[in-house]
Amino acid sequence: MIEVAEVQKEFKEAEEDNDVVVASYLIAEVGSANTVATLYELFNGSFQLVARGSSLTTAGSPWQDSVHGLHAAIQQVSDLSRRTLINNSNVLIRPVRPDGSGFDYFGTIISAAPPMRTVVIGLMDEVSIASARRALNTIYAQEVDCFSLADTRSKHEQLEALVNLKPDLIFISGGTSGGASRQLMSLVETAAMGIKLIDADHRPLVIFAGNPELRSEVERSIGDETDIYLIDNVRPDLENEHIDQAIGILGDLYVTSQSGKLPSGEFLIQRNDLPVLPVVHAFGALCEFVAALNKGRVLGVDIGRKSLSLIFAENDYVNLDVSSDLGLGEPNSKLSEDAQIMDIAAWAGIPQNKGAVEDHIANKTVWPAVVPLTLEEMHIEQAIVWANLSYAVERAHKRWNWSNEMALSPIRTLVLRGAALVNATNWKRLMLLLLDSIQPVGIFNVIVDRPGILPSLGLLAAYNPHLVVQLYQSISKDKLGWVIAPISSAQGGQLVLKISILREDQEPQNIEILQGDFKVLPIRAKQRVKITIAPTPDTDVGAGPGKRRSITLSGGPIGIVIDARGRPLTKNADPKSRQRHIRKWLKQVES
Amino acid sequence: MDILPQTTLARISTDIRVTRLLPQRGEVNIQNGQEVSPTQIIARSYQSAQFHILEANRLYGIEPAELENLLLVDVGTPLEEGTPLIRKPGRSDKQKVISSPVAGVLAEVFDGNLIIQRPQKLFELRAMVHGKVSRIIPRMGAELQLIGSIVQAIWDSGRESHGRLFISTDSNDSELTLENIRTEMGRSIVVAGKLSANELLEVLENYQARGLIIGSIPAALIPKAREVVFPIFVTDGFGEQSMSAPLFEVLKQSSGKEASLLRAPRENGSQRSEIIIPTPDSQYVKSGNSGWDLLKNGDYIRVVMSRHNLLGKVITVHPEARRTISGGWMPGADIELNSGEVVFVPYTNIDVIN
Repeated sequence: MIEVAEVQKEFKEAEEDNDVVVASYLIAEVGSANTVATLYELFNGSFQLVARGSSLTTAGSPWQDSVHGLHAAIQQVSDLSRRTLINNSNVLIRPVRPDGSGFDYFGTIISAAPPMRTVVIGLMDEVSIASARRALNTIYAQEVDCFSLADTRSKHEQLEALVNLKPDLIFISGGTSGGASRQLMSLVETAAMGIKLIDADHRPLVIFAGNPELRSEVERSIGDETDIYLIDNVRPDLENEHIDQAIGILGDLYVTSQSGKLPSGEFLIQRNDLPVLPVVHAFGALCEFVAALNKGRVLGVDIGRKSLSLIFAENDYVNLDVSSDLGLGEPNSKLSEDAQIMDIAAWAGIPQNKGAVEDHIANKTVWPAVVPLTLEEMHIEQAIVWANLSYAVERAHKRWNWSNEMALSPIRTLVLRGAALVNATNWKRLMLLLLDSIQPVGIFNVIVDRPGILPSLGLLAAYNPHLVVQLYQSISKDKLGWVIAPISSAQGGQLVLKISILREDQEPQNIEILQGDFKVLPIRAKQRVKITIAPTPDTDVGAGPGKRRSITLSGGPIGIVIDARGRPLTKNADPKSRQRHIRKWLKQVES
Repeated sequence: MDILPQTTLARISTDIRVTRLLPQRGEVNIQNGQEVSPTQIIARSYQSAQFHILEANRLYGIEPAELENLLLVDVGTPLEEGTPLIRKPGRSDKQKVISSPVAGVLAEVFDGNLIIQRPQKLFELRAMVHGKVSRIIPRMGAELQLIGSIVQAIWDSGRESHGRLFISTDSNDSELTLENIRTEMGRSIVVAGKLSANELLEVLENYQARGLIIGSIPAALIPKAREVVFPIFVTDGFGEQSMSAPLFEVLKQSSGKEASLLRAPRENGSQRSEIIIPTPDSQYVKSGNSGWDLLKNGDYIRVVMSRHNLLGKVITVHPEARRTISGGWMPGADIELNSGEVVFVPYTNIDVIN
């Protein structure tokens, strides 16, 4: 349980001591498809979501001005809250006026800017370049080329590549602190020549995160041509990796440099009272906050039009993985292999209609903001989410260097956001697809960001944790339900769990779960039940093999899902058998 | 309350601005106020850069600081293979002349290296429309102005062309079939409600069609559509959508007239492709081709769906979130469909035909 009472007590005491600045916040999230504005304010002693407005993001045609969408969303908030937030000259009214108009603080989070097209330079693929990539994977970025010792191209071929690619960023890593320098400097020299040959208006920014002894030489070589950021060596030696500073700088550059490339993007970042953050960093901050609050691991999933973000947060650490080549809009053109399409069609429940899936994917690339209006559209969209997530999760585990053991760490909370996930109607079906693609383990609750505010709470977490606790608590009350996903070495069909469910004023319900089962137990949203889970000695539900767990919980639209299909899920290589299994599971959840 | 909908232009006789841009910086060779024709080259640039690096420091031991004083040519000088580049110092009998190993232009001298840019393929940007230059965009291109009709498409195959419009189907929902194909389509831009047969693209290619404007094609045809030599512009989507009636009507009224197919700039994925039909003698009716407005009652719209778009009219705008057919909560509007049915549609799926 979230320890809200303690935080609220602390808040009340601080309020009595006048330590808390009572404030209202207007937070804008400028996404690639939609722009959302949310107003929060203290009311009767607790922070509340006053109103939320949304508009299409207007960076593209026909508007070509990001601010129109922002103002439309703010105007909606204004109308819904009956409170003027923006004056006739389109100036935000700050702070709150005596007549009640205005608000106190304005903040923005952004993911609408294009991903940073990056050339990575380093020495060894498995060492410094791997670290550079781990840093880049925490932001909306796209690696367009890599110069390394393994690169067999000549110097002038590399130069041509750099000049013709015109990247937004060159990320240089390599060289252990105090180590060899000649080979890295040769690559830096090529980069310097390339930068000089690119028009001054289009020159890439440079991050140097390599051997610190080369800083002055690198600066001398490149510093006159473009802005260079000299930061901690991301890989000072083979065993250690220091990417935190790189992550921070990459976030700043995405906001300041890439957002400036949106039409009127400079206005989005100029008028803020709080630092502007990339959405993934704000969502990461929220997941980390929740992990600390709940004292349990959090897995966050955010699928948008142009990217898919995965977040794995513990009390004091967070892993981010952004896939700018996935998502439900333009990047979907990557889902084109026959086997992939056939699997999507099977998950959508239309195994014979590959054409419908291909048409849907193509239509999303030209109409990225549209939401499903029919059941068939909804099922196809969810199946595309499944394909995206399956790919992203497998890749994230590799990028995070996770061992099999780490990939099977139990989580406490699964947080979902993105229109395709929050606008679902058939939650059981969606849960099956999510569990199949993400393959989480343990006993965890599933939170859906239905109001679309979690990243904005992440932005506020550092400034007003009381607000975040209170609002997160209200969202988490509206959870989808719970999942029990054990790991077991049992053979298919063998007993793995004995579950006892105790409802108020009722006899306990005892259920036996066999390896391979996928069951949904209905528990209503406000119904509280005590569940005791007794795993067999070869089965683990998060406390260790054979260790019993008891929890008291309330339900939700999905009740309790028991996924005993095993981890990792083995995918049948034969497409027909695989699709037969999919049909079987879909039938189980629909029944 | 404010809802900004997607907008598709389908206008007859309007003031049109067309921005023509090079893929990278180059040379613009037209002037403000000049009349241009579709085939006229208005700007040029090199398509991609190729370089040769002469490492004077590493190969000949020439210090970077010294190099500029030893150069026999200036930066920007065209070079032939063998053109003397550097006179290496020493007693007169030991002086050595280092020549250019390749033809090109001396692009830069950098840190003891000479960078020679090799000859490249030239990209020529054509006007593609009859119009007047209203603004020069230095080193990148120009904005052209004309009076004409415009229809926006949502997808193009990546090519551009111009030619006479040939309306090949009777209605916006008719499919282009082999029976519709006639010799008159040769060297024309063919307009049809929809298309599903792969082989028709080859037939049109054999007829030397200049382009195809179509309501929809199946997504499976996209690779073939990118291959054929003429541009394909899709107005409504992928699947079995008909061409929206107002778009078809604008094209039908322009039958036989010269039209230009202008692809959307690749670097801005959200921009629409455009079909432009200059009508210089027509009366000016509506201004601006970037027209957009807040959603309002009476707007004629298409409801964008995955496989079948629907047409209708806005009855009531709802800026507060409402439950959609699929279960989500979003702002939107009540739409009276052409069938007479009234449905609530979220703003994300509304496209105003303006």
